[in-house]
Amino acid sequence: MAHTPAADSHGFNELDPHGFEGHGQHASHVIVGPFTLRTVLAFLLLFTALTVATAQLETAIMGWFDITLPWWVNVAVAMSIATVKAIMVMAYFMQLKYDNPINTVLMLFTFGALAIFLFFTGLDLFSRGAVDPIKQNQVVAGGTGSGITSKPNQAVALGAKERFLDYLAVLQYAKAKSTELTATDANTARALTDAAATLQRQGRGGDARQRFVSLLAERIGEGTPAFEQVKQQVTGTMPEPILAAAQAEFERIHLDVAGHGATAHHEEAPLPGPNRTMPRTGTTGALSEAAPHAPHGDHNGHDHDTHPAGDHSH
Amino acid sequence: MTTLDTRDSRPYWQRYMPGHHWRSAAEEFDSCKFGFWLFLSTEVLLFGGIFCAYFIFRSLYPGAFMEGSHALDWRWGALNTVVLLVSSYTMAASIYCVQTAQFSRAKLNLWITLICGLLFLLIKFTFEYTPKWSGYFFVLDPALHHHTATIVEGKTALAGLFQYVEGYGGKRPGMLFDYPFANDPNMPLWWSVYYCGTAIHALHVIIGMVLIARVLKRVGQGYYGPTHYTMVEVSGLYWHLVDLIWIFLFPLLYLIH
Repeated sequence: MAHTPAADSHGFNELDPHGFEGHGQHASHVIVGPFTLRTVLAFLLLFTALTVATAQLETAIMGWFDITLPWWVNVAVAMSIATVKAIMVMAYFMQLKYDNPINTVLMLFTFGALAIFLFFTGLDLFSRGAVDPIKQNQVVAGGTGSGITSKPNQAVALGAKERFLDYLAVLQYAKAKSTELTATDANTARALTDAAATLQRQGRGGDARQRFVSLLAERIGEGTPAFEQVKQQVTGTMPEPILAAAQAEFERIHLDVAGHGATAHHEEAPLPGPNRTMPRTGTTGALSEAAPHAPHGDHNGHDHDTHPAGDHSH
Repeated sequence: MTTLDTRDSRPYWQRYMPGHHWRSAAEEFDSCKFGFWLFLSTEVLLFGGIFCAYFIFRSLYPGAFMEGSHALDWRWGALNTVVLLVSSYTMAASIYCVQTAQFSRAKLNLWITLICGLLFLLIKFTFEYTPKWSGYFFVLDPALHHHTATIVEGKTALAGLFQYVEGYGGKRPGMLFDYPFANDPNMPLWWSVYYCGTAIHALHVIIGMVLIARVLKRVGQGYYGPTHYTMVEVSGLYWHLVDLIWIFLFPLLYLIH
């Protein structure tokens, strides 16, 4: 061959710097063959199916064993599979495996920078509760509060739940009072027992019943036969939980908070609880701060105790 | 008298000489690739910002994100994932074909890549964006039969191609970028993250398609070949990055449970 010899790793030949005698460089780069590419594609499609399958598996497991997986399980599993896929795409399709290692170093550095970004953000986000408990991240998805382990979250979740259940009980009482044709003690007692059953269904203990009893005392009036009857029923053996009234009430509240009636609500299952328990400030819906009174004006002297005198609109 | 035809009639890719500031074609190729990887790292950081926003708002308001994710159909997302993965494969295959001078196969693979990109955009706009924004479903959309109760008979658009469904549309920003249909006060954050993430990704798909179209045209003109295929390689890198981003976006947006 008449070519001048000894090209170095870049194909640079000191004796022929312009490569005139080279008739074009041979591709010194690796050619990734179709078999490799197809294998990688097959794995990528497999992992895509795996991602979807594990997500649905998580939901299924939570249903079968009636547990709540921690919130980070979903993200961690999905992100690990996505990372594996990303590594395969970068190594084989983008040929990082066959390239100058500097390219790989560059990409690792970029992802490292992203990790630093997310790490410091996470440090801030997840420690907000240490400064001000109310700023703790919101309760986890699922709505029942059963997956919460950290103390500040528990307090917030329980407090919100108690408040909501109080409203539920009072609403049912108000409904019973307003819909019954004759204000018999039996009807009232039954409606209130339903409400108490709801509380029991929610797993609340003895002190919840105490609070419920004191609510009753406030609404009905301590010492009346109705009060005595309900008190006995509430503190004694509870009847079978009756959810229908509570569910109906919940639906009504749910729709009321939406403010659009049923139009904004998709046909799917009702929302999980969590955001219902956090009252929206400034709304005048069922979950506003002002205790909802009986619809037909129960003027028993407790009507306007939340509003200062003379201040009727906010 | 004979004249010598001194014109070099080889195809461009064989005649190609790198500029004088390069020591060799191999050095030019490696440097171009390294420079493009630098650009890709900036793209990763761009989407990293969006992922960070996702991370923050999902941590703060997991309920809103879960509810929002239920408004998306994971099957369209999965189909889009498959489409992009296949297009990545055909892009890499086209590079292989150019490296081995199989130009017609290279063009075929590039066409398939382009069509997959177009399919991705079509699926996104027709089956995901349009129903949410306007309430109009494509008539062949399988999801339409879930909404038979709320179909408004006779209200169609685009010569009967799209059917209106009551109560589904409006999942788009309101006048001041609020989302007035939202039950949850934090839903606007979910929708903003979803639309920003997927729309900026769709923009990158369009840019990638433009690059690939240009490469396709030039392969047809004999511009690229086994010794000169830098542009093909680099467009491939961009397309693979677009695929990579979607690989991360899909589970984060569609598979929240």
